[in-house]
Amino acid sequence: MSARLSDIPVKIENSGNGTVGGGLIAILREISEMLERLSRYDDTAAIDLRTLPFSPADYQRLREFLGSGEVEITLKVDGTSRVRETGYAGVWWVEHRNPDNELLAELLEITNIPEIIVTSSDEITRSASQLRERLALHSAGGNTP
Amino acid sequence: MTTAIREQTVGEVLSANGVSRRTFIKFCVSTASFLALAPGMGQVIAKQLLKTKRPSVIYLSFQECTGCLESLTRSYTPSVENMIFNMISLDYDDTLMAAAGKQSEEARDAAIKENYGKYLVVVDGAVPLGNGGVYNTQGGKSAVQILRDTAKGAAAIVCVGTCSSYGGLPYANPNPTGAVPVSDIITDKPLINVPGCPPIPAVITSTLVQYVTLGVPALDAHHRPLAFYGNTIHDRCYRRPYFDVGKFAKTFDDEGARNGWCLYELGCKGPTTYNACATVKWNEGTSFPIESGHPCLGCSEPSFWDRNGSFYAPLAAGLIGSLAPAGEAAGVGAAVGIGAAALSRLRSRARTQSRAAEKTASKED
Repeated sequence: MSARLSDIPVKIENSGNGTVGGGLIAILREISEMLERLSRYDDTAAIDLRTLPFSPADYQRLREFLGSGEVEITLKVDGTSRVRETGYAGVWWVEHRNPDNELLAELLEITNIPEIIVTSSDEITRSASQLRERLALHSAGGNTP
Repeated sequence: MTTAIREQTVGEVLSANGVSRRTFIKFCVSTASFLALAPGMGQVIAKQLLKTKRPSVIYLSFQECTGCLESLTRSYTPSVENMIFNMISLDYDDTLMAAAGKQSEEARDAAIKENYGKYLVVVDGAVPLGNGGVYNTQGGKSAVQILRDTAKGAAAIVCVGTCSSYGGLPYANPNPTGAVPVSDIITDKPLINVPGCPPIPAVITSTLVQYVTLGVPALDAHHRPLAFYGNTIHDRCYRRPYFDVGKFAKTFDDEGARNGWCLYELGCKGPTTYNACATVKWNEGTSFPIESGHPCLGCSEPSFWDRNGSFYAPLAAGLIGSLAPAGEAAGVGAAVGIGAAALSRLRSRARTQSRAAEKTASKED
C-alpha cells in the first residue's frame, strides 16, 4: 500500500481558549436554525460537510463543539456507514464509506432519525410474507425450522 | 428479451438484483454529494431513479485513443458495472460489446429504432470532415454520417473527452484530417460536454447519473456541467496560498516544489482551466497532477494543444507569445516574462469566462 496524503499527521492548530472561528460560527448558526425548524415544524434538513471550505482543524473543532450523544449505529450496506447522534439531540453525523473504506459522503442530518436507519413498510410487508412462506414450507415438511 | 429488461424501471432492476433500499439510499446520497447538489437532493434522486425507465445509451467512438473509455471503465463512484447494469441500457459500444461486424451495426440500428427520440448518444472522439470524411469509417460509413444518422433520434448528446467536445488532438495544428468537434455538426440537440484528456472517471458517470435523474444539468458557456467545471483548478488548488504570497517552484522537484509552492512558473495552466481535478482527484481520490509535482496542462479547455505556446511556459508568457508573430512566439514570450498587459488580459479573460458561465447558469435556473 502506498502512503496517502491523509496518512501524514497534520498538527491541529488550537486556539486553546474555546473560541470558534468565523466559518464555524456560520455553520453552527445554520444548525441551530435547522434544529429550531425541526422542533417547530418537523422540517428535516441536512448539511453536506464535504462542500464546506473547512480545513482539517475546522472539522476537528466542529466535531469537538458538537460532541457525541447516546446513539451510534454502524450499517453494513455496500461498505460501512456510521450514523452518530451528536451531543445535540436531533443532530446526526452521518458518514458513508464504500467497501474500500473510502469516504463517499459526510453529512450532518437534522432529523428525528436518519432515513437510512428506518425500515420501510414495503420491507416489513416483504419480510412478513417471506417468514410466513418459510414457516409454511417447514410445517408442510414436518421439520422444525 | 433485451427489450423486456430495458423497459423495467431502475427501481425494479435494482430490487430484482437484490439491492436493498438502504444501499440505494446510500448510493443516491453519495451521488448527490458528489454532484455538489443540495443534500436534500439525494432523496429526490432516489425517488426519481426508482420510477425512471433505464435510458438506452449508444456510445460512438470516432477519432480517439480509447483513453476516455479506459477512464470511464475505471470509475468507482458510481462504479461502471453499477451504471451499466442498473441505470442505463448500454445498447451499443463497439469497444465493449461482444458483438462485432454486421451484428454490432444491427444492434445500433435496432436501438435507434426502438428508442427513437429517447436515447442518449455518448460521443468519444473528433469527427473528420476532410476529403468527404474518409479518414474515419466504420462498416463502410463515414464517422460524420454515423453521427448524423444516430443523432437524429437522440434525446441528448454527451461528448466525452476533449476530442468530441472541442476537437482535441486531431483538431490540433495542422489538423490534416479536417477534424471538428461534435458541436460543429450537430446543432439541434441538447449537448453536454465532459472534456478532459481523459475526463475524470467519476465526472463522466456522475454526469450520466444526473442526466438520467434530473435531465440536462446546469452548463457553462462551453456546455460543461457547472457541478464539475464551475471552478478553475487554481481556485481549488492546495498550492494556491503559495501563489498568493508569491512563492514559486523554479524547476521540477526543487525544494520549493517539494514544499508545495506554486507551479505557475513551470507552466501551470490551472488559472485558466475549469475542471474538478483539485477536488475530485484521480485514481480513486489519490492525487492530481499538481499534487504529483507536475503543472496542469489545461486539458479540459478548447484548443489545449495549441493555446498558450508551450505546456511548460508560464501562462502570461504564452499570452504575450500569442500576440507575437507565430514563429517568434515562444522566444518572445520567454524573454518578456510576466507583463502587465498580459496579466490584465488574463484577468479580463477570466472575468469574461466566469460571466459567461454565470449567464448560462442563470438561464438554466
